[in-house]
Amino acid sequence: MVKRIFRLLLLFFVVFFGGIGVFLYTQKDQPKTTADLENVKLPTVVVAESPDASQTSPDGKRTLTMKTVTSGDLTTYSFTDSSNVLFTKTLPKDSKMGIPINTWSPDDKNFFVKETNSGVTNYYAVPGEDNVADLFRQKYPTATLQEITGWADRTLLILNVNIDGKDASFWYDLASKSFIRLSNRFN
Amino acid sequence: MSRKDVLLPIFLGLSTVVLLFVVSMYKQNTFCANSVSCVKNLNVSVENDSVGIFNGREVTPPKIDLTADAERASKVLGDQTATGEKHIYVDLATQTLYAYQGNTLFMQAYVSTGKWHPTPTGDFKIWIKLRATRMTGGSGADFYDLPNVPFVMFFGNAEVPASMGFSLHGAYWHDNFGHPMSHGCVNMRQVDAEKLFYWTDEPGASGGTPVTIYGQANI
Repeated sequence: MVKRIFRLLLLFFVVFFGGIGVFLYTQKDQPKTTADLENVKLPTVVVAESPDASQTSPDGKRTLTMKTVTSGDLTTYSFTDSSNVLFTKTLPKDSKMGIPINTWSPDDKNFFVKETNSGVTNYYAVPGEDNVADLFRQKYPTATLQEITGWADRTLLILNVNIDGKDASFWYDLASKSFIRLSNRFN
Repeated sequence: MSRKDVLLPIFLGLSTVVLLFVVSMYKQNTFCANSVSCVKNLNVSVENDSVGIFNGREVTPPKIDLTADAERASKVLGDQTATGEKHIYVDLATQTLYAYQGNTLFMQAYVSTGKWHPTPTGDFKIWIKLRATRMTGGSGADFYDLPNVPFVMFFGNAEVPASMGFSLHGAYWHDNFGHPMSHGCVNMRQVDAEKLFYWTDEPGASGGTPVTIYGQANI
């Protein structure tokens, strides 16, 4: 009797999981690749963007521009909107600063800039001039900050990191100056 | 084992699989990119005094002045000398949109495609353009309610019909373009969506400007 029930269950599960396998295969998303689009002329010319020197806000109302002045062994970076200087930093000549593509917050009130100095990458959020990268390193000394990519909303910066051997994402909230770990990674 | 012993579990197993398949098909056919608003209201909707909700926080939508649009359109487009068919391409892998007229690149821009639901791939056509509309969807912590979503261009094809509500549109609630962020739509910076909106053809009986979406987003 037990053997019979076992055989029946075994047969049921073989059919069930076999059917699930077929079902999942048919539902598998097969996105079109360039190889599939034979009759469509796909773009071959890619115009490279140069985001480092200036960036207009997503609504077009503000433009952040970076100006550099080198004197001796130092370079001063000034970030301006129209004629207003919003942030400046003086660094050794071999350092570099730039304006990320998603520099402006959605409400145009905040922005962030990137600095590379002696192999260390920093990100400054303005106003406030928080060095978000340094704050993160202090809070999570064993984690690696990979990139700050942009804004999830008007005060939340998105940080992509590697922590405990896994890729993860955090928000940095300018308002509360706190880090919030997210359940999803934002690639 | 008797014949009944063999046929009964096979029948039960296959029935379960068929039931799952039917439920899945139902879910796919009733899916809409914006799960609440979907394509219920296809009139232009301008709500300048409304406040939106996104990520559990209030969001202020852009003010829209429809009377200024006609003048804006010519300023945004500038001189147009290119000839040929217009065609939009969206590369999900690089999160980049290219708009071509013939062999001339009209614009290139970073976008944010589906994070919470994949943006569909294939060849589509824009079937309606709305200067602004309200988009509502999600639930719980993911709930969003966004008035004055600007420069909306709904697209579809036979496999991804208009009822599924996928569109290209401006997004004023985040600035993380170049990375998947949406529930399936193609989010654009407002200035980019505006430019594309005025450039695309008005949809006719056989549809509007073609849109090809390809590749695989890193989500």
